[in-house]
Amino acid sequence: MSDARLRRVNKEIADCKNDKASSVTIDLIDNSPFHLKGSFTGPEGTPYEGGHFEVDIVIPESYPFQPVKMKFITKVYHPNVSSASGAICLDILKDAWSPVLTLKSTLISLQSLLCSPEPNDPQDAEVAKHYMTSKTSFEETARYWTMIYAGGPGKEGLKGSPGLRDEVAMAGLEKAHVDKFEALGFDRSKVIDVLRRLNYRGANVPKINDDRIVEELLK
Amino acid sequence: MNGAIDSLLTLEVQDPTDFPPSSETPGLRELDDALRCSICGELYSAPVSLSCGHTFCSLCLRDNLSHKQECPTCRQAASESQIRKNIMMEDAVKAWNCARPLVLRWSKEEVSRKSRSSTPPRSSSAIFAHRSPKKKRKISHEDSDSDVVELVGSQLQKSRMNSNKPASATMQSKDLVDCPLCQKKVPMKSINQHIDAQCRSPTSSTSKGKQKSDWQKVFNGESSTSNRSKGKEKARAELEDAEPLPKVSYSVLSEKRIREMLRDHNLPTTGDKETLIFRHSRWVNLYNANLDGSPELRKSLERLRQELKKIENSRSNGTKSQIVSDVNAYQKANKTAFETLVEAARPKNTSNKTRSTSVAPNSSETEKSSSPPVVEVVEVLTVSAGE
Repeated sequence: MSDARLRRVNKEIADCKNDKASSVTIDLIDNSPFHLKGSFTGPEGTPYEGGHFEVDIVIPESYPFQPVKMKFITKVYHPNVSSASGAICLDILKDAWSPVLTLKSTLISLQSLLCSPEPNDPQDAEVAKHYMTSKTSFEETARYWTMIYAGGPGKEGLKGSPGLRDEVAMAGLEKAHVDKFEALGFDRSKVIDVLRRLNYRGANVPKINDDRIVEELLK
Repeated sequence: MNGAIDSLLTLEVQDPTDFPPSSETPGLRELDDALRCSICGELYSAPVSLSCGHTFCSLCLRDNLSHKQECPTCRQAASESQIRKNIMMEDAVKAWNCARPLVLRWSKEEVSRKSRSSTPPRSSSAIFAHRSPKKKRKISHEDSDSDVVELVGSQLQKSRMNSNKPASATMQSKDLVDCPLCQKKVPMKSINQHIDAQCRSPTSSTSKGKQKSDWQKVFNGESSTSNRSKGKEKARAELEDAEPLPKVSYSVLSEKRIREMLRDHNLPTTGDKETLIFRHSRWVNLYNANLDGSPELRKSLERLRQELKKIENSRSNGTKSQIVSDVNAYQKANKTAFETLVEAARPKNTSNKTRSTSVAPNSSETEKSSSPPVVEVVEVLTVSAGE
């Protein structure tokens, strides 16, 4: 006889294995059944379409009465996911957890979080600002991240420079803007950093004058 | 953890997906799913319902309500006082437990028979047309099968008669009221005394000892000196009387008081306050959940104590608090190992030596990470974790 938590996790893994219809899978990471790796495909009709997203799953001791701990292994450009650590801001992973939720249903919830970002309750404030300022520019960047990190479509176009990532596109900025300030003699990576921090995108561009940027660059 | 992964691989899990999909055998997966608790995924054990109508295993639901006072399915506010036994569901599960292997075999045979025939019937009416003669054939040919069917019937009758008793008993007691503190049913006239006594009956003093030997004592039947009533008689009476334990608000009780409460139930009284509270609250849940099952399915108090011990062990294996609470014994046991480590660290930083002799093992581990005998630290840690 084994404890209830192990039995339940075992069931949930088997459930995912048996269900071929859903795009959600669960695998063991190491020897522990309580540290798993979930994965799902990016939802259609979003910038994440065609990507393969992996999630680190840790099952706490008092599961299923306490929520599972999940964070993205794959880097995701999304207002509710930290672009640095992969931490996820989703209510059911916190106080809205219920023991009837399963690993599968939680992963599907993550999938649907990618469909419907909630910029008013952000995990990554910079990404959320980008989303609010210019949705098209945000989607372009998210698509680029999906292509680079999640194996999304569009890789063929990059064949000329494999492995070389376009830092400007990664930050969701315009190449012309970065070039302009780089021409003033500043380091390219610093320019990207400052412009990203100031959210120098879309409708914000005319609002931020050049002196302000140079001031930031000189700091 | 190796043990855990082994048992994970060998564990036989029952699941609704054991049955063929509903396109093959309509309703079977759904039936199996409907008889399972959505918290633990097992067939209901001691099923209970909330006022919203959702049903769970008694223990699952009680454990969940200790975390959050709402229905896990619909999130409607819920409390222990809403819990009602679901006797009919228990009967259904009992019958399904008997019938499941048989139905599973039939359904598999049916599917393989269908796949063998070149034109598999698709519509559900066609499936029924094919299946009904087969069922008849099964029952008439295999004597053992028909035996099982009779057994199910007789067990059902028996359990229904048994389960009638508690229902009529509660009907008679009309002058019972809910205690506003513990939600226990109390006679109207004695409610004041009940509240004055902090929802419990008082008993005696405290003693200290090692946790393990304490559990040992519990299982050897050595009731502590303060326990006046004869253990066995009491245990039998407790099971028959079927009085649920009141819920306790631990924050207003002293550690001593909680120890006394544990002693009243013949449970170990070792550990810090957090451990005591965990032990007692889990005991209340186990005990009350056990009473929600039909009398012939109830476990003995001895069995419940063993389960509690298992829960406690699995809890302490992973937590840091266990390692910390063991510090003194742990330091004594590994004194020589620590001394060699301290010796090794000394030439590097002399100012650290007073600290490293007295601090807890986890901090000394980080200190030592730069020194050569790191391997020893790892060994020591795994040994203590395995205990």
